[in-house]
Amino acid sequence: MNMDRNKDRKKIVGVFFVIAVVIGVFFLFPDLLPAVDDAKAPVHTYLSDYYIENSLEDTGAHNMVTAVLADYRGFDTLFETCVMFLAGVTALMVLSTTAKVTKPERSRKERLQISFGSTVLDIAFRIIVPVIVIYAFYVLVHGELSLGGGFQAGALLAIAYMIDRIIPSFNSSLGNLKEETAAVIAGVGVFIYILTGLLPMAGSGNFLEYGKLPFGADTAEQIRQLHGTGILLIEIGVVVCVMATIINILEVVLERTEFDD
Amino acid sequence: MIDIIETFLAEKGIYMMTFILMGLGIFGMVSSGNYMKKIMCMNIMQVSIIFFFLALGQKEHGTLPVVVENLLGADAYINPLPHALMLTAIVVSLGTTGVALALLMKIKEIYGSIEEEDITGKRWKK
Amino acid sequence: MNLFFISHIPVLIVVIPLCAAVLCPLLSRLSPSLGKRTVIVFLFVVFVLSLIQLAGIVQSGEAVHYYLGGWEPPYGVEFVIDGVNGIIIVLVSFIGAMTALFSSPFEEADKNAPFKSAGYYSILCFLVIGLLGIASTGDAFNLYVFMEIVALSGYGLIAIGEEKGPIAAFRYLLTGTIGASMYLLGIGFLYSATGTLNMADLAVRLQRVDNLPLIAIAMACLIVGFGIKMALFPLHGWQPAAHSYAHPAADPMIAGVMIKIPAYAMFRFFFCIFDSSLPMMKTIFNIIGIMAVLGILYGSLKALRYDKYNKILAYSSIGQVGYIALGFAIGNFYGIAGAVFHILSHAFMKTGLFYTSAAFKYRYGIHYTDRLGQVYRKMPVTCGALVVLALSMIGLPPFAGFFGKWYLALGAIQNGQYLYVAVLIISSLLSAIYFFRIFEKMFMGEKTVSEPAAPEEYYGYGKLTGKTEVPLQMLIPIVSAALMIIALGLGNSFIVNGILRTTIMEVL
Repeated sequence: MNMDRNKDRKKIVGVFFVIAVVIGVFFLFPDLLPAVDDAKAPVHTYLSDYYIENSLEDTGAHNMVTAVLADYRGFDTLFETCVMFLAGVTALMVLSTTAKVTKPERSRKERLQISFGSTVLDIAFRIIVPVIVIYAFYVLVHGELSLGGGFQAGALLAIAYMIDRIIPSFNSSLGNLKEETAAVIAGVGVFIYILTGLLPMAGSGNFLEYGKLPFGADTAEQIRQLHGTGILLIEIGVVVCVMATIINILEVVLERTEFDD
Repeated sequence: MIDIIETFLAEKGIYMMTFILMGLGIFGMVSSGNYMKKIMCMNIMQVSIIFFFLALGQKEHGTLPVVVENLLGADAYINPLPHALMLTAIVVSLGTTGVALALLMKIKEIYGSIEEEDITGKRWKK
Repeated sequence: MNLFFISHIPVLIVVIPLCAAVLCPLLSRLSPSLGKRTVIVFLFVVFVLSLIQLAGIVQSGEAVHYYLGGWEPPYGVEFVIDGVNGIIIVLVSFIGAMTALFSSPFEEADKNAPFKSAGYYSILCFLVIGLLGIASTGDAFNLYVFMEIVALSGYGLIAIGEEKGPIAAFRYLLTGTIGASMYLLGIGFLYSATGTLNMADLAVRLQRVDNLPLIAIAMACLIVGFGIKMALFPLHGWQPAAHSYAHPAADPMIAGVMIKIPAYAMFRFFFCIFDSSLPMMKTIFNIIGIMAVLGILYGSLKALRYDKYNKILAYSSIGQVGYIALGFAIGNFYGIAGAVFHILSHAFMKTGLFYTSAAFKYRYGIHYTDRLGQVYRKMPVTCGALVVLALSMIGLPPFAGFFGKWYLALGAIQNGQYLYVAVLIISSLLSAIYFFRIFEKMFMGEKTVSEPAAPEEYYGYGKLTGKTEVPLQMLIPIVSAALMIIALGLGNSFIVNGILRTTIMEVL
C-alpha cells in the first residue's frame, strides 16, 4: 500500500517535471520554432512552393500529397511498403516457432454463436463486404485526383476480408488464405512496385522515373499521362502488399488465440 | 500581459503540447512496468512527432493541397511535404507496433506474463 | 550496354537484393532451397558491383550522384557516393554476402516448413539492404526510412534467436524506437529552420540560419538518436542482451555492422551538414568525447566480468564504438580517418569473432569460455582465426586493429588531447587481459567437450556434413574475415590516403 502510493507520487513528480522542462525551454528560447501559420517561415517558402506550383504540371496528379508521396519521393514509399512486408514476415517468423493453440472442434451451433452476437448483425456485415470492396477500388483509382491512395485501399480490402473471415459460415465467399501464402502475395506486391521502378531504365530513365516508362510518349501531355500510369501501377503494388500483410498478421494471430466468449 | 501570453500560446502552444506529449510518452515507457503500457506510451511518443511535423506544415489561409479546378497559387495551399513524410512515418510506426505486439504475444507464451517484475524477477524501484 | 550498368550501379546495389528479399518466400514455394540460393547469389553480385563502383570513384576522384525518379536534388531523393561511403558499401555488401553464406548450414531448407528458412533469409537480406541504403542515401528523411528497415529486421533476427531472444528484441524495440523518433525530431528541427531535407542542401542553407538554440537542440536529438542506434555509452542498455541472444548465424551481421553504420551517419551529420565553425561545436565534440571515454573504460571493464563468450564480445563492442566516437571528438584529419578506418577494421574483427562463436555453438554447443579447453585440437582453423582476430582487437601491429588506434592516437597528439591517448593505451591493456583469458582457457584448459553421441545431430542447429571441422560454407567466411584483417592492416595507407583523404579533406 505504502509502496503503491510512493510509486504514484513518483509518477506525478515525473509528469510535472516533463511539463515544466518543456514550458521552461519554450520561455527561455521564444524564437526556437517559427510560429504556427506563419506563411513566411522557411518551411513554406522553399520546397513547398515548388511542389505546389509544379506538381500538377510535372506529374498530372491533382493531389499534391500523392504527387510528393508517389512521385517526387517515390523511393521513400517503396521502402515504406517494404516495412509493411517486413513487419508481416517478422511477425510470422516470431510467432511460427511456438506451438499453435489447438482449438476444439466446434459444432455448427457453437460456431454460429461466436460472431457479432446476432443473426441480424452478421447478415448486415455480410452485405457491407461488397460495398467495401467497391469503395476500396474507388479509393485506389481516385487517389491521384483527391484524397486516398494505395495504403487506404489495401486496408479497406483487408477489412473486407477480415469481416468475411470472422463471421462464421460454411461457404465463406473469399476463401481462406494461409498466412504463409499471404506473405508470398505481399512479396509479389512489393515486386510489382520494383518492376515499375525498373521499367524506365529500359527507356534511358532513372529508377522510378515514370516519365520515361517505355510506352512511347513524346508530348508533354503524354508524359504527364505516363506519370499517372506509373503512380497507378505502384499504387496497385502497394494495395496488394498492404492487404496481404494485414491478412497475414490477422491469420497469424487467429491461429494462436482462442476466443472464449 | 494577457495579450502576450495569448499570442505566445497561439503561436507556440501547439508545439508545447506536442513536446509535453512526447516527454510523457518517454516517461511512461521508462516508468511503467507493464509491457503493453510501454507499447502504448511508445505510440503516444510517435504520434506526438507526427503532430509536430503536421503543425509545421500549417499555413495561414491555406487549404487542402488538392487542386480542384485551377491552381490558386502558392499561398493558397498548406505545405504538402510534411503530410507526405508523415504518411510514411505512420506506416513505419504501424509496422513497429505490429512487430511489438507479435513479440508481446510470444513473451506471454514463454513467461506467462507481461509484467516486467514477473519476467526479470526484480521489483519496481522503491 | 556497358555504360548503362555503370550509371545505374548506385541504385542497383540497393534494388538487386531487394528483389531477392521480396521474392524469397515465393521462390521457396517453387523449390525449398531456391529462395535461399537466390539471396546468396544476389548478395555476391552486389559485392562485385560495389567494388566496380568504388574503383570508379577512386579513379575519377569525384562523388557519384544518382537522382531517383529523375528529380533534381532538393525536390527528390538522391544517392551520393563518395570515397567514405563507397568503401563502407563494399564492407557491408561483403559481410552481408559472407553472412548469408555462413547462415546456410543453420537454416537448412526444410521441405515441410519452407517458410522458415525463406523468412530468415528475407529478413537477413532486408538488414543488408537497410545498411546499404543508409550508407548510400543523400536525403535525411530517406535515411530515417532505411534506419527503420534495419531496426525492424534487427528485431526479427534477435527475436528468433536463443531462449531470451524475444525479451531482448522487445527491449531493443522500445529503445530503438526512441532513438529513431529522436532522429526524426532532429530532422524536424532542421527542416523547420531550412525547409529542405537533402543533406547537401541542408549544409548550404544551415549556414544562413542564426538560430543557435535550435541547432543545439537538433544536435542533441541527433546525438541521442545515433547514440542509441550505435550503443554509445550511456545509451547502450539494449546492446549486450541483444548481441548475446540473437540468432547465432545473423549475430555477426548484427554485432559487426549494424552498430557501425549509424556511426557513419553521425559522421555525415556532424562533419558534412553542420558548420564546423560554429562556437558550440567544440562543446558538442567534448561531450561526445566524454561519452566515448567513459564508454571505452566501461565496456572494457565490464567485459572482464563475464564468462559467456558472446557477452564478452558484446561489452567489448561498447568500448570499440567508443573509439569511433572518440575519432569524431578529435575532429581533425587523422581523427576522422582513424574513426572510419576503425569502422572498417572493427566490423571485420567483430564479425569474425562472432563467426567463431557461432561455429563453436554449431559444432559443440559451447556458449561459455570455460568449455573451450583444448577445442583447438578439433577446430584448428577456427581457433587460428580467433587468435588473429583477437590479437587485432588488442591492437598488435601487423593487424588492422593497430592502425585504427594508431591514427586515432596521431590525431589526439596533434590536437594535444593526451587524455585520449592514455585512454587508448589503458583500454588496449584491458582488452589484452580479457582476450588472453580466453586464450588461456582455450590452450591450457582441461578438455571438457566430447563428440556428440549421434554424429549427425549437432545441438539443434543442423547436421555436420563433409570432412572439414565445420561445413565449408562456415569456414570460408571465418577465414576470409581473418584474411581481411591482415589485408586491411597491410593496405592501411592506401585506404587512408588513396580513398578517404579526398572526401575527408573536403569536409574539414
